[in-house]
Amino acid sequence: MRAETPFNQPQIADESRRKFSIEQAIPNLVLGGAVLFLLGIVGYPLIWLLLGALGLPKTFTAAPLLRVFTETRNLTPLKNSLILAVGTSLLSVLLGVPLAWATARTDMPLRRVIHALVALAFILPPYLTALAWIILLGPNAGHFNRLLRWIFGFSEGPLNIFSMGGVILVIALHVFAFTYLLTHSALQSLDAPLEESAQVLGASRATIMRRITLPLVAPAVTGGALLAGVDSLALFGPQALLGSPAQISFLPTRIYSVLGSYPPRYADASALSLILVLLTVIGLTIQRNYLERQSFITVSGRGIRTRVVPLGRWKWPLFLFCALVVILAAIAPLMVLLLAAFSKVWTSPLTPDNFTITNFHAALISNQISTRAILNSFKLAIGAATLGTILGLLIAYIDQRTNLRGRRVCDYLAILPLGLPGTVMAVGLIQAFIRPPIQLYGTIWILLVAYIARHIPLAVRSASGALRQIDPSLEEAARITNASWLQSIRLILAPLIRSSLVVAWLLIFIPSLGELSATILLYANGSETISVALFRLNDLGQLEVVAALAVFTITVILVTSLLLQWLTTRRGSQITDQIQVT
Amino acid sequence: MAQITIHDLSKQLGNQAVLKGLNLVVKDREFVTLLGPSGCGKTTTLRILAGFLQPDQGEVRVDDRLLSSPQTVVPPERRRMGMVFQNYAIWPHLSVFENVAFGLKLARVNRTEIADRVQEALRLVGLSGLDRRFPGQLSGGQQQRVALARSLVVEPEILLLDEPLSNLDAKLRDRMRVELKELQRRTGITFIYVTHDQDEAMALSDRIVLLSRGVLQQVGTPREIYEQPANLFVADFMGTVNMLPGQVIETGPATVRVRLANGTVLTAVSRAGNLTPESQVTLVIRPEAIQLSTTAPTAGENRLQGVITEATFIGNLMDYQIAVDDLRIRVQSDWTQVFPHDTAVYLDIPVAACVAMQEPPEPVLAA
Repeated sequence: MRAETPFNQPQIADESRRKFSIEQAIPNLVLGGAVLFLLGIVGYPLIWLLLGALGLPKTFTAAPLLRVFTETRNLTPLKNSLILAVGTSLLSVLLGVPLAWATARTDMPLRRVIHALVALAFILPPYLTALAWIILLGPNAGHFNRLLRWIFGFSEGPLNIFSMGGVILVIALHVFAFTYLLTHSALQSLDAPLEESAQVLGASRATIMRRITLPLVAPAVTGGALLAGVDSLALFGPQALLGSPAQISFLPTRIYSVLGSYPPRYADASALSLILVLLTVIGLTIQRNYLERQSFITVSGRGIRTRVVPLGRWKWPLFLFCALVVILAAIAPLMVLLLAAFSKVWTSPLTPDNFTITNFHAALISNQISTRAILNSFKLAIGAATLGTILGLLIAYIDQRTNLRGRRVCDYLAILPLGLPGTVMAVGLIQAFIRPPIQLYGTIWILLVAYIARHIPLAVRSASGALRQIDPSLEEAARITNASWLQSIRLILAPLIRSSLVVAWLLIFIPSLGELSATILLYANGSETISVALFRLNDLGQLEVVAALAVFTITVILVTSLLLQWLTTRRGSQITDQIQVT
Repeated sequence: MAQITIHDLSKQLGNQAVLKGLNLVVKDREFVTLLGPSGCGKTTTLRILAGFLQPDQGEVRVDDRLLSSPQTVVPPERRRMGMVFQNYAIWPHLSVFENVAFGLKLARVNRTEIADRVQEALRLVGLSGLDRRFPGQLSGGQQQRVALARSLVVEPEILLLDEPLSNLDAKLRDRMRVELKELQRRTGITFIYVTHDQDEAMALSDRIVLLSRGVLQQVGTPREIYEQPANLFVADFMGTVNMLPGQVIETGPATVRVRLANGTVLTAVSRAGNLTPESQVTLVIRPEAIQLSTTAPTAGENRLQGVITEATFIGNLMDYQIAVDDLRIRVQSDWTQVFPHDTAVYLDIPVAACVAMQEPPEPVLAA
């Protein structure tokens, strides 16, 4: 080998020592900063939620907490929320797991299309889906009901979306994407020899599925179902739009009405919120204990290969099932909104006479609030997604790659917001940031904080699932091959989990763009978002303009997703060329 | 120059002391193997050397540079070391070329030089022409070579290898052993090699460092360790041995006389000077040191009589199980000398090959 090495330059001892200390401080500064930031946006508001539940700072009393368990108007929403979470969890497994298997591991036709449509279903803001389902399944004017009456001759109904079943259905058609996505990626990362070794031992296809594949993806399935159930607790939009007209209240809508009174009853709202926090902690503890017992390092330094199962005669039945799910979840709601957006009157068929584009002109150009809202939503969603992804990666890194004290607490804290409906988050944020030392209430910054805080669990989950699959020796190999800590993350870890990071970014960006439940309590004049504009326009009864704005929003989100999708799948040497720039 | 000095190194992981006061000096250009069963502290030592773990006590120096102490740890990227991992740790998102070029790019070596040096490193490990491949397209042996090339291309002073051959098949493992040894001689890099396989350690090392439960057992050349094990653990770990318990009945200047359970008295060398009559000892005898014959030899001090209960032909030698009263003794001899099953034989044990040792292991030998 040649004599000159990159290390041959003489080093002055003192200088190099100073360099070490700065470099060695970087991981601590970065990780410590992440922890502080997390504490500030999640821990601090949560403390205010606790204080608020005790009547502080005005009084000090346990009365608000007692009222949760003594008054029927509080107990009924609690029971309803539980029914909702269990129902959507189960439904999400029934819908998500067969779809995930079909698209990840079989030769079913149109797998990619189905996959994309599930993503689309997740993209559609659930309150918009709920609006679409009112159009589809409203007791009288709903398109499906009119169709069913025409076929079977019912005199009224027969189906009513304003019911517990309706709420569960609409929410499950949104949240099943969690179960689907997690199961799908678990199935894709399952190395073929794991199954083939069972086959060699004489196991049938059914046995392999039951004894090998399912147990290996079970953590992903339960993880997904838990996310789905816990997330559905928080979906204020559909609960308010579909539950409230039928007098079915859930915890978030109950809190909303408590806050809507004058003066706002923060104490009662905080007390009700704590019950939801409790439900989340219980759910996540179960999941965590279950996951602890599994080993996850399935990707080492070697490449993997997955198996494709030929379906034979089951091809078309399975396809029909998948198609039906995505039609209900994505295509039908979207079509209804599209038709309405281009109609002068939404109840009439879209004939040439009824066709117009003025709804779009109103939504995008002529309405001042609407245009300002679009700009605000973009700034907020991009900012929240970027900061949230970085924060999520760092928190996951702390949990899995370090042995810092309290890293478990940190992880819990980052997961907790999943169980906090936007409404509840807003209750904490208002109380925390309405007063010194940090006054953000009334500015647009409180929305940025809210969006990051609300969606950080998705980023942490995504990053931590990916980290678990990457053997730490890959980063260590980078360190010993001249890379600093930051470089080992930027050049090795981040590219290796790039798709998970993009998923994390999307998982924050998409819901942030249409966030409703926290925004509606936190926005101020000048910081309106798309969802606020939609609600204002809806109150004015302009359903066609609402549909146009919704279609625009969905289109933007869709285009962004496709762009990012394209970026993730493009592989090659571009990444390593960046090493040159360092 | 890269002389490694390890002084009084200790490390606790969780509530278990995995390394207890290790002292060791590795000379420049030496090939040293850390050997021992799993949990002996060899990997911990390697990870402290690499800078991934901080010691609880003691220090690591390379020449005059203090690299690790409980107060400071020079980060891995500043240690001028390379490391080859057990699972190779080849980056799956980078091509072979990019994997190998990684360290050079970070050191801002210019493009043409990078290309030259990567090609040279690939040639050195026999991977020329595969530079555009991705790790998923390589066999285990090839991935292993990429890992080697990646660590060698930055020309480290010291190369750390963590069981690098344990995932390869036997034939490839044999070939890689030879190549590693050659590579080390050619590059003049100090190699610290971790393994649990004593054959591998013997074949590769200038010196072997034998560890057990975090405590150094013996340091020496393969020959020293094999022929003069410092204690029972070392004797047992380094290949097959017969261990016969007995009692000292007489001590001489260099030898002791030991009575075995069946009453036979054998003369043995003793490396512990503190043996007195009635000390309980174990006689350690290598199976290949014992001479077999069917007729009583005329000379010879240590003689046993027994019957062959098992005779196995294993290619280059014969492996016998011999019953001497209640004792079971294993003997290995030249494959040309074959005694059938049930043959009554004499066993002659040279005094020099019969070593008396005491339980518990004698005090740890200094490096």
